[in-house]
Amino acid sequence: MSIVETQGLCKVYGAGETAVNALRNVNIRVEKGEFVAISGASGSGKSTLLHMLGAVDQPTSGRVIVDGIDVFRRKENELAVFRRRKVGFIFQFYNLIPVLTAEENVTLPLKLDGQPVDREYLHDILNTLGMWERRKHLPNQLSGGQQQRIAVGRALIHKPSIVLADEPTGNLDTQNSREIMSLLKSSVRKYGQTLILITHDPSIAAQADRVIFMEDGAVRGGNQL
Amino acid sequence: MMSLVWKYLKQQKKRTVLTVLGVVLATALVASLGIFFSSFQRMMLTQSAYDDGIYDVALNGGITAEEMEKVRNNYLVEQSGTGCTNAFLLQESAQGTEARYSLKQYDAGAQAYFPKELLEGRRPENSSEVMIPSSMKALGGVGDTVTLPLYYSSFDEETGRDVEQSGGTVSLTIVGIYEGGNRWNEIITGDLLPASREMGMLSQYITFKPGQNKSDALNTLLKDTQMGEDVVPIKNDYYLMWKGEGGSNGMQLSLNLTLLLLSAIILLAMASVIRNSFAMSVSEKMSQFGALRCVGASPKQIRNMVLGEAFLIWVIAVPLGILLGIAAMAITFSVVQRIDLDALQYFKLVLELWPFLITVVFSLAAVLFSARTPARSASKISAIEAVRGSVVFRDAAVNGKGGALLGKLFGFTGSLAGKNIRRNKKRYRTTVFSVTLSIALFICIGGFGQKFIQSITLFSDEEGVDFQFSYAASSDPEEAYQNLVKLKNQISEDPGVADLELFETTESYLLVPKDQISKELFDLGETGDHTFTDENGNDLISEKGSEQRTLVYFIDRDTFAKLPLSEGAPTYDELVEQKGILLNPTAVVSSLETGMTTYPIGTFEVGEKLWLSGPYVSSGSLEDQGGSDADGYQQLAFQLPIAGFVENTPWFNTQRFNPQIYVPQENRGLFLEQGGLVSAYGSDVYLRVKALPDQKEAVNQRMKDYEDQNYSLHNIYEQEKENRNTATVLNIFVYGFLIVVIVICSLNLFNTIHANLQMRKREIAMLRAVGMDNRMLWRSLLLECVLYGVIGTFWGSIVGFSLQALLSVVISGAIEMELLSSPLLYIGGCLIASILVCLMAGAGPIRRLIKSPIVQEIRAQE
Repeated sequence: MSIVETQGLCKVYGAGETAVNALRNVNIRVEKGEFVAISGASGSGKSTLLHMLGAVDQPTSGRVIVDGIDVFRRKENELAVFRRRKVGFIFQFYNLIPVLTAEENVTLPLKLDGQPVDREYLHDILNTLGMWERRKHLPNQLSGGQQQRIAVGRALIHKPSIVLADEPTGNLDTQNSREIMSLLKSSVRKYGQTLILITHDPSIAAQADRVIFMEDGAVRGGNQL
Repeated sequence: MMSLVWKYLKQQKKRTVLTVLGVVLATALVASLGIFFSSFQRMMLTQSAYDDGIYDVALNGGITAEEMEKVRNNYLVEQSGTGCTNAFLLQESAQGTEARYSLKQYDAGAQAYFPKELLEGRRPENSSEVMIPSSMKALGGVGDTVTLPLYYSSFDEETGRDVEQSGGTVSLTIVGIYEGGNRWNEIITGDLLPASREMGMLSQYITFKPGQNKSDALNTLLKDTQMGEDVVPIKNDYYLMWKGEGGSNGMQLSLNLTLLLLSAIILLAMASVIRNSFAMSVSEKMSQFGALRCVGASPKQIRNMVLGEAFLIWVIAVPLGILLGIAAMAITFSVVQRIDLDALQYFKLVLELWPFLITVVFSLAAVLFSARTPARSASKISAIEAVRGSVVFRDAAVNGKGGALLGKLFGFTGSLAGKNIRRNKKRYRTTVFSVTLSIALFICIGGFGQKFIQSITLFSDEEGVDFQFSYAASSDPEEAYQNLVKLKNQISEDPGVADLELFETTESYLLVPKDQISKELFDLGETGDHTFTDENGNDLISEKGSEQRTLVYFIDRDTFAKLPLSEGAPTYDELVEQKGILLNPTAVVSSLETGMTTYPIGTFEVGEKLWLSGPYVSSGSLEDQGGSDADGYQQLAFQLPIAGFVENTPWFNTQRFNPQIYVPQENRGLFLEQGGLVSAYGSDVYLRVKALPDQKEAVNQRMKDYEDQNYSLHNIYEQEKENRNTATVLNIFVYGFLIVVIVICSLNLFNTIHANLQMRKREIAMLRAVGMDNRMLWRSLLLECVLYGVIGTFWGSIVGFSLQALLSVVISGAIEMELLSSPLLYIGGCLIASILVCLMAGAGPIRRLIKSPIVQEIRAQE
């Protein structure tokens, strides 16, 4: 059963002679619990596709259907709820909120949703991420690897059905990369989540159930189950 | 390098425009203040020149011709002139009344010391020619000759009285008329009359050579010339003070200090705008500066680039600011000149060099000083950090403190807002500083100005007396009364007159027995006429009670009929019969805080005998009639029964601060018989007139016709109009100043809040990416803006009231006024205004941030 599906997804930046086709008629399907890696050269449209799936960017045309819901038919405020409940986003540059502590950054989606924090689950996540001791630190007091662990924690705290990761290890050393990937995989396995991950690293792509290759804004392979 | 600097300025067009605007406004304000003060100084100098003359020292009191010669030849003396100022001319009217005109005689040397603005004719050239003020045109016109008896007055030390001595009759030809309202009722001759030279009561006016200390020069001169004891040297202190050549310079010092203080505040606001703007500018250009370092720019070059930006802004802004300042003051002065205000007759726009020099130097110093820290930070960027992209401007250091209380009050959005406003200590301080400064200035200047205006207009009474006539020439109240009766009959025909009363009045002291003193009034403490305690809070009431200054009105039957009497009060005839008095035992206590409030001075009953006294009775001795005090003065104490009460102070009573006693005219003798109170104090006869509210100006014009040598008019209506005009002028200056400073601070606020939000674009996009909806985002960001307003108001209130206290001390040398405060109204208004400004500053950027696509912001930053 597919949890994510795109139909004729197109994205054009700019207009006229300067128009850039970032996505050209992208049609993909991702099944529930699947770990899909998206690979391709720089500018191939990987991040644009991921942003569409996470509803942080609007397509020029086409549809994104998540759990049977046509995402972009929703209003902005409904999209905000969708982003904090359905999706967990991990960025290459962590993008933590500098004034919030590690713990506050992790629990941010819950607070935005007005939901109480499950202290046991929080403890479990921070422990798993190896960040329990540093939970009171501000982002600028943490290393890159530690910040990315917090970003992973933030993506998982709401137990979203889909985790979207945009080169989560692109800015990390080998050791940290390995640990982050291990954490992500064990988490999605444990909670039955779907993981869609962008990577340039063949060893990470090799760990995925399926790899989608993109070129010039179009899917060139790996879209079949 | 400068071309690169110019490109940077153009690149950040919005911020450059805002910064230039801030500097332009601040410069304009400093220049305006300088122009205002130099114009004020010139006004005071002109006024003192017209009032007192422009000499350094006058030698009065019978200087001899030989002494004059010695003075003239003294090496310290630059110039001198001789005058006679104690002569007067007497003119008798057909009705037998007399009018006196002061006759000032100046030789050619002295005439130069007394400038007058000629309206007609020329200045007199000899002793038989005179010029008269415009207010005395009734005496004659140019070409007319008047022949009048001449008198000299002098002080007789033996009797302690002024003595008048005849100087014969003089014929004087009017050759000129000079500008002079009520201020200068002086006839001026072109030389000394021969009689005056013979009388020997002359004055010599001196100007010392430049560079002399006037006091030292005078002492040396007196020693050198061995001047007789009769000669009284008087320094022209007021003129010298405004000329900046000594004299008692307390007032000028106060004004200079005020100018400095206000300029410092403005420059501080300006420095804050620039400091803030450059901190943000440097922060945004860190990578560019890093790149420049990589290609070989030295730290000094980087620093100079930032300072160069500041200098360029200064070069653009200062000429504009000075021109704006001149234009603003020219407009203000043209408005002020239209206001009918005697006191500002000589208040004209003066453009001197010093205010502009001060503006240029101070503003350059403020601009370079405030750009110094950002310039230093920029110069410290290391090339390798720039290449790695890890440069962080030290202003951008983040802390995550605060927000706990707000989190409890407003939930997560409150907590986030609390953390965000304090995330960057420096920027937080700058933003709060802008609000604080605006609020502080509003409270300090606005509050101070309002108190000052209140103190000017407090005693105006729309429902009270508009015009008061008194009989000028005679000291005999009977005669004065009869003359004013005639005038009353004339004025009562005027359709614009609402009411008029004629009465004789004197004053007395009444004893309020100790157990009858009003507790309300006692609890007020020190209240002018009704003080029961001294400044240390000690009880001033004697065993017998407290003496209270009281006004006594001798009224006729008509006035009696209009008095608001209490129930059971006697008729006029009964009052005459009973030989009693009517008492209004209330007094108004004025305070800038509460306005005018009426209090009872004590509790009294009908039939009770009041102890009254004349001027020489000391406390506690009122019952000891007829005795003498230590100096041998007759004590004038007597008792009169209270026949009834007057419930409210009638409109014709202008002295509302004292209780009043009303006595039938027929019983006036009681006061004379029982102690000679009236003859001891003297009495005045007044005709007081109240005009209909919509007819006041018309009646005013007609009342002036009645003013002549017989009747003296105290024009309360015009005085109050003048007070209101003064308040308007003050409002123009005070609020004009305030508005510009607040605009400067608001620019700073817009700059800071805008930059604060701009620099957090990515972060805000991230919050949206993880699910923060627009409503929450608005709430959190607007709460940040509100917090700036609240915190700024808190600090601004503290600083504002402290500054108000400081300013009142600084200005006390120039203007006497009590310092008062009405904090809540001001703080409330400031809070609302500051929150609104902060919200306005934040609303635009927030709207743009929310409309901007999330992914665009994330990508732009990456």
